Amino acid sequence: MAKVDSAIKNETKNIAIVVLILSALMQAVYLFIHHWNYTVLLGNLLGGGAGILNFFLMGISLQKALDKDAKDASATARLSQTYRNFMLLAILAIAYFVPCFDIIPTIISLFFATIGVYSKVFTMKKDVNNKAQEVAQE
Amino acid sequence: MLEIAIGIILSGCALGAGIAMLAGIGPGIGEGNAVASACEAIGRQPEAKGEVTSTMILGCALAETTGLYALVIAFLLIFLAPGRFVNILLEAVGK
Repeated sequence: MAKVDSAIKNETKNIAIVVLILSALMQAVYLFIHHWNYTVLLGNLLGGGAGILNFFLMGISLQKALDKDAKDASATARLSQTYRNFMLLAILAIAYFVPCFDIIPTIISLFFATIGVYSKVFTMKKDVNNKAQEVAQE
Repeated sequence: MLEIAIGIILSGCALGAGIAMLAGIGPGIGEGNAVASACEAIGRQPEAKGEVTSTMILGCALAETTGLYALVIAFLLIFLAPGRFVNILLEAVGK
């Protein structure tokens, strides 16, 4: 198996941290509104884990795609996206049919990884702007 | 008559799920284009591979968000919505 790129590891770590924080927040909200039970926790773990796994698998497949030429890389990325969509659909089906998972926290926590990506993009934009201002001042 | 109404609800949900999944086509094409461009960029400037990879991953994750929304909407329309809508219909007709 090829070595995982450090950029992918770092990004996945950042996303995992955001997912963890938001999951804790969601659990607190469920506790606050007196709707908490173990199915909420398990659903949250399943959805959050699926979000992080989806991001990590995307990173690995893109790393593999980068080693190929442009046409093959494009096809690999598309195929990877299809497989990952099937994986997410299977996970949602498991959360729906297995009674120990609550479907609503599963769906909500699936989006936490996306929120993590958005937060990363916004901070990255700020860094780029700051760097551009420093260069302009010099 | 009730059977026809239930049939319309179920077919509407299935059609809606199918239409929602059309949104899954876009991210696939977008990701493919992004990766192809990243390959060319790395080919031109191999020393910038780390930065290009990092930016590309975040870009692809952003592009994939739409597909994820579509997937969840389709899932809700197939598994959750028909039962709710049929219940509402049955309550409305008093059965």
